[in-house]
Amino acid sequence: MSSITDPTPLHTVEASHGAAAGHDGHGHHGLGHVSPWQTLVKVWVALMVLTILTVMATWVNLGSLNIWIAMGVAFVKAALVVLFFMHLKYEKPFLAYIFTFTLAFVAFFLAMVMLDSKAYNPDVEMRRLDMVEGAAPLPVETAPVPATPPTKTPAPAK
Amino acid sequence: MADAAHSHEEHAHSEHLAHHFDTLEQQFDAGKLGMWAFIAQEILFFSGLFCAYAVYRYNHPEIFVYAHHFLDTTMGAINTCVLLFSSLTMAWGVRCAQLGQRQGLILCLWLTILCGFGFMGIKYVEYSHKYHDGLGWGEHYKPTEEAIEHAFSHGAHGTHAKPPKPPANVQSFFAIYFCLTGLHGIHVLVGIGLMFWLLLRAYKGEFGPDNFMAVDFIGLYWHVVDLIWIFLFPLLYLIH
Repeated sequence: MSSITDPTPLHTVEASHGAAAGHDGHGHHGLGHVSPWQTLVKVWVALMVLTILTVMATWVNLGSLNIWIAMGVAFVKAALVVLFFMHLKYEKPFLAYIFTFTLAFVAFFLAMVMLDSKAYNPDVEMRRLDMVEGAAPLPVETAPVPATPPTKTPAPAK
Repeated sequence: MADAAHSHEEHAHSEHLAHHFDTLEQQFDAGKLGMWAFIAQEILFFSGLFCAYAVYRYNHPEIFVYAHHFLDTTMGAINTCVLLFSSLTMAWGVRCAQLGQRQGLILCLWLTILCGFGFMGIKYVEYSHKYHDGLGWGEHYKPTEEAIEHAFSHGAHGTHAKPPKPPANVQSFFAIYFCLTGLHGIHVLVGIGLMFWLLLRAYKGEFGPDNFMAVDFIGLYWHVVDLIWIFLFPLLYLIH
């Protein structure tokens, strides 16, 4: 009865997932994956080693490579936490899809904003130079022309 | 129908099964789906601040290179280790709950709480140093002479070099620093609160192989807090 009327997508995922994590699990601990404590300790040791490595990497000057090494190590650490501590490795794939899509959208978000920031950078630089020189501050070129064309010309004529 | 229902018979009478779910497994999966949706939201939520970081660092790297001298890498590294250890104890706690080991779960929860407080304690020391050194955001950025001298004395490879000329708008680094670490700190505090709630229930012996959802889900939350810090540490403390 339940298998027919139940509309949850998770069950379809589970069905396609087969016996690996699904129905057969009832005999022994049916709910979730019990991580062996040895695995947990190994993951933790790896995380500590990576932390030491990433600190040590800053002692060497590798120019712009430093930030990429730091980020690479951070991603490896994050992957260890997600896969083992958060046991995503043993979950149904649907949860991994959610997580991957999230990361993809974050990447998309960052990329778009960076592109935008880059595109506007020359304007920002010009404005900054204007302000540093202490000459005409802001309004002259940004003021919308159509609204006040007659009053605009007399104003600066002092 | 009897056939279909039979396989779930053993769980049908579980007191932990809410009436709107067919099986414990379905209930657990539904909760997990909700938790991962929340995790996705948390990551997107933090990504706004990471985005601010990326834009400012890309456009003004000199501010970040200059300002990171005011942060204490040792404290940041110790805090990283503290959080990583708390993640281990949390994951172990989930395992204890799954296996119905009440004492083990209580011990793990206490260790995790202790690490949480340890983290916040170190954070407090760092924040109070920033406060006394006049290292705030916006107009609160008024670094004292000693702070500047101290920040640039030990990094100069023995030679007592004069501190470099500060770039413009260093305060924007501290705005980003306080927003990121502050929001993260609030998450740690919330996690500690949730952990006490778990502890209360653990003392009552509520958790076991059929009922560990709360421990697992709060564990997931705690790991996300760790995850955020894994990125904050190199981005804020390890700038080259």
